Amino acid sequence: MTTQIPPQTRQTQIKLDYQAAEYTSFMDRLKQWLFNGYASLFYLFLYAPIFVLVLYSFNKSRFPTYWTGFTLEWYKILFNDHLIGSALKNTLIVSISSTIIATIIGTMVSVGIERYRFRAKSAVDGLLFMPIIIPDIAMAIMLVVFYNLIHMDLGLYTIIISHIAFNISFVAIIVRARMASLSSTMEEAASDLYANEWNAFWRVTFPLLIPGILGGALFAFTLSLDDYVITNFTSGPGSTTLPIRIIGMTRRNITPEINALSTMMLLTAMLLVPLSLWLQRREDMS
Amino acid sequence: MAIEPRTRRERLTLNILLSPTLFWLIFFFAIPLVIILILSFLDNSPNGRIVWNIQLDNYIRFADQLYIKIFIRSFFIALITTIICLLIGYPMAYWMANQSLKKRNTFLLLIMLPFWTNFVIRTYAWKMLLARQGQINQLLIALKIIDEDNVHTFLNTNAAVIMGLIYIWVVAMVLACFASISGLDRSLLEAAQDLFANPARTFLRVTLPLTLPGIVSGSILVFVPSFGAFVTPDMLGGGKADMIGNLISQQFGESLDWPFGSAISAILMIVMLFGTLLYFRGLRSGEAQS
Amino acid sequence: MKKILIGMLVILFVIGVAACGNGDATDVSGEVETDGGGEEEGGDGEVGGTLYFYTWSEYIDPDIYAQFEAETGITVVEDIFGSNEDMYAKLIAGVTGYDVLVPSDYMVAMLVEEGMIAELDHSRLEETISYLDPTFTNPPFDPNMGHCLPYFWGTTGIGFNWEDWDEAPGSWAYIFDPELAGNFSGQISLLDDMREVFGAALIYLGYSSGTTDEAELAEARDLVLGMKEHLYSFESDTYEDLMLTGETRLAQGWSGDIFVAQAEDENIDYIIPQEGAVMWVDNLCITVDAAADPERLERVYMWLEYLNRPDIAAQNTNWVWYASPNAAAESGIDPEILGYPAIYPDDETFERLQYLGTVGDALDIYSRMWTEIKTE
Repeated sequence: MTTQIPPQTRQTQIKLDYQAAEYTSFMDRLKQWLFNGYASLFYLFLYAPIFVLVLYSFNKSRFPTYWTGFTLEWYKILFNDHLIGSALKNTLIVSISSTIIATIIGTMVSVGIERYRFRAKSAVDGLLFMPIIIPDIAMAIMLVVFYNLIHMDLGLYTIIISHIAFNISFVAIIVRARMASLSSTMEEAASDLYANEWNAFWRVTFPLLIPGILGGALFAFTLSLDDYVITNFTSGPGSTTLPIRIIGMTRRNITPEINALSTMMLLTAMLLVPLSLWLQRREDMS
Repeated sequence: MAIEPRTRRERLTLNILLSPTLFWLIFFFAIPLVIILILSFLDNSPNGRIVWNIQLDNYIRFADQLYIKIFIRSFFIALITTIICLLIGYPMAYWMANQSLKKRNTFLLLIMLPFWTNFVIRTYAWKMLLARQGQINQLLIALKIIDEDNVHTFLNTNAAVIMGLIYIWVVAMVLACFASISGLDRSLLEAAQDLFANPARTFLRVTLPLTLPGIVSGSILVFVPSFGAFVTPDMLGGGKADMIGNLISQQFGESLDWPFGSAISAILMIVMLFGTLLYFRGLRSGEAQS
Repeated sequence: MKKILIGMLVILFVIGVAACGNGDATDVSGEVETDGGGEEEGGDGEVGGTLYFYTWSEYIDPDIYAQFEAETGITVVEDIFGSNEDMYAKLIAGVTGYDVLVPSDYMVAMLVEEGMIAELDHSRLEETISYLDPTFTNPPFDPNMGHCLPYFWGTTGIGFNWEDWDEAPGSWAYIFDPELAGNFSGQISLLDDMREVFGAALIYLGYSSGTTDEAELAEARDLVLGMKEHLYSFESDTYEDLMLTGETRLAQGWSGDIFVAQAEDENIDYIIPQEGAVMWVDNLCITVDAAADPERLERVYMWLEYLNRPDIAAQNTNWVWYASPNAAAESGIDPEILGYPAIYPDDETFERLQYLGTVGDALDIYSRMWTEIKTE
């Protein structure tokens, strides 16, 4: 099926992925223009509620849905709020550690499954698939009952373990989609360098997998950051996370403090954009 | 395409690759899962304690017009969500995959960023946008599409729920399709273009089949959680468009009926498992034909 | 496969070791930092240590934590739950470690039945109990306060907007009578809470809010189904917001919430309908595992005493805006709150209030009919 794949992968990949230069005809330009317009609309859809959310973080009223005037008060309150601070800390500990572990082992299992044929494959497949199809409330209940059966005290680490349990599957499904599209080329490249399989993997397969791994990790992080149901049940004394606190706040009312918090998190995350560009540039130069 | 692990070393590699996941999922998923399955055959006290009285009652109870209706409605809501996600997510993934390597990561990050805010607040924002006095109605009035006395009620309908689910899960579709499309061998596409000389045919005959793995994982990533969703129907459906997830969480919550909740969960999982198996089989036979 | 198993066992071992190490560490690592942390050494009256307080969000003035710590050296860690049932589910699954819980009335009865909260030692709380309003010292769900102290209480009534009314809508008919509800078609919200909705409908029909009679419940269900076409949504969290923005004009809601909305827009008000309404009391209860440990129990009693000291109870009420059952605190409570009938109803109104109570086996009927209401 496949044609030439020289071993100097990175170069090849840039060449392969790079926009073909001959897009010059009018139709092509029109197509390009339509595509860009479509993408902008898509981003508008994603960011429309975000604009509203940010706007209301400057709202005078304590209701985040009812505009009365401009204030920075909620930011001041946010920075002095120990309860939100500790919930944020817990959330970050949980989502960062569960993302790292789930991404590593989720990638490993994807490579194993896509690369090798073995007898228990469909069983492993099924097992990997189950955490995705289980209703999260059922998973939450079974985990809390299980932890208590084996006398594990609930705390941050039980939340992390639970998050890893569902995140592995989400990472794996995305990485495997990437692997499946690559496998033929990969195998050929690997067989060229069969003498050292280890090197072949790190030089050929791994760089090609990075977009999938990155996507999987981002997805896992996002799921972990927002998870309420499983976290709520597997948390113990002293391990309240942000979603638990915020859902709890809805019972009275959520104040724009949460909008302010979300805005701050968004700004922090925005810093990643120039950072990623800078890293990319450094890589290009070397 | 996969290879048989022949040498000892290969077998060892395979074991190393698989064992962490197997360990994790067996201990922190499969064994606890047995608990839910056992629960589904038990009874409960009025106060929600589990009573060891093995029976099939919880499954029989589900065979009720009322619950079946909710089940079918959830299915269609999830199905429509998935189809729309695919229709809007795939072109987006295609566009991203066609960007230069440099821009790609940025665009990828930009897609994920909105989701690093809290989901309750995000859903509140949607409630404001969709409200009768909300920005979308204001925009429609300003564009003279509707007049002021005739504002649309978007909220608390099935449509609002579907929109909310799309908003959450379309990103999964984009990620999965992107992972697959960006892995395409472009020289192959060029060869195909020469062969078919028609972009539409190239797409249908080459691009689409080659990116099928991404479409499949994307669809599953969207369909499955949408089917079991309960927070979105709660918040955007106003409790008037409840789905199977609401029924389940109701059993584990207010109704204190864990066995019934477990039984519905088990049914849901079995249906999804078989559904996806059929889906895969259908795809494979489709592939074989083309 | 054998190798996979061996590999798994190795990892199990490693993780097991790590988890055990972690188990001790997390007790400390998840804490809220209120400067300094608890000093372990006593001697000068300081007890120190940590107390785990499992409660509703924003149900205490956060300054009280710091004040308590300054006085006693005890660090209070606040964990929160979103509903009584969430908390109950965790306890019934066997979760331990929480010291003080804040369940509502009917939940107290269930926790007592299931033996998950400890009896209260009145001899250690004589002074505290003397502060309490006698109306609350013998509640039906916990006779003679055998297990819990009342913490805050409130009612579930109707929120409305004075722009629409010359006279307050003092009847559930404005919500449940299809014709009257039609005046505000699509602008009425009910709580997304099974017991509260049935409670209000049953009270309107003249039945007990905690009935277990299937025919009465069916009548209540049909009542709600009959007005459903005029319903904006079932809403427990944002109904005050919706009233402020004008999306809804009438809402079934909790007293304190609507009072908060009134602070934004004085046209918004709250009334307890003439047919009566549901009242609830949230309580301070001690978990059995805290009671089994003298050191933890010591901290718990200090906390209960502290929260009920008249000055602290008044400070807390002024922050939370619900009614306090602590009579001795009244002199310190903001007169605006004390004089507001929606929070402190007069005796005549109080007569018309009723608790939800537990319903035992009938919960199955409630549950199914609730699903019917939400699905049909």
